[in-house]
Amino acid sequence: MNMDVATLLSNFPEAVSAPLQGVTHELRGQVQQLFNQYHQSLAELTCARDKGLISPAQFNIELGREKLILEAQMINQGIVIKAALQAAIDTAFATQVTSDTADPVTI
Amino acid sequence: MTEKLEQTHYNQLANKLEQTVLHLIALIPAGRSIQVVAHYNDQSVQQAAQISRNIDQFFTRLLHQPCEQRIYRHAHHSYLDIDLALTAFKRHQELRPLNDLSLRQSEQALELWQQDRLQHQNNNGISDFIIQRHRTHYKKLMHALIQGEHAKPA
Repeated sequence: MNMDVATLLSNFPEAVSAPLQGVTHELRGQVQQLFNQYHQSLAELTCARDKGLISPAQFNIELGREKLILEAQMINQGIVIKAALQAAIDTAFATQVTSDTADPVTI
Repeated sequence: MTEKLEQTHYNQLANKLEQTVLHLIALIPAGRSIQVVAHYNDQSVQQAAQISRNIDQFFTRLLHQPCEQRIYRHAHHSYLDIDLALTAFKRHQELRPLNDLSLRQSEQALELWQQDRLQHQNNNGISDFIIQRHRTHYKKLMHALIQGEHAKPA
């Protein structure tokens, strides 16, 4: 196994962060879109309450649901980041480390 | 308020990312590949798509029934079938390593479904507005689950 630790550590932040910048930029746009949808959904809900289509109690239940749905959608951002991070770190190591070991490390 | 929530969420993601990178640097033995998220699982995608279709059919049928016929007893078996499918899906997610995020989504789907069943049972009826809204909720949620799976590495 050959590895220049000093070179690896000095190049690592750049090697990992560069591919992630594109991903985080894309995610920011998605977060904005999700919040816009959330905002619109709350407006429809408020309108339904004002028109008497749902009771105040039902309105509160629906608010809780909206939050939960948004949370479920946001969770995907975590998955995308983890997957991108995994790929970026693997690429960074692959270009700087020579080894015959292929066992993955789980965290 | 929305912008503040969005910024907070974004900051949390950035902090988490930074912490994860530091942990990874410290933990990775030289020459090894890393794994921080579960691999893509086609069975999960197929299961989620099937459950999504079943839920959509359930609400569509309900919507086409006259309001007075939407009593809980008529829908009981469908609620139970979908409850069982969501429970099986959640158990499958539990068994997959590094799959905490998809597991959380599957728990959310089951939580909503059980809440809906209880609400229908207590009210012994359900309005057009609620049917349409809840149908949209499940579409979003199941779509998120499938999208999340597709984001995972092969």
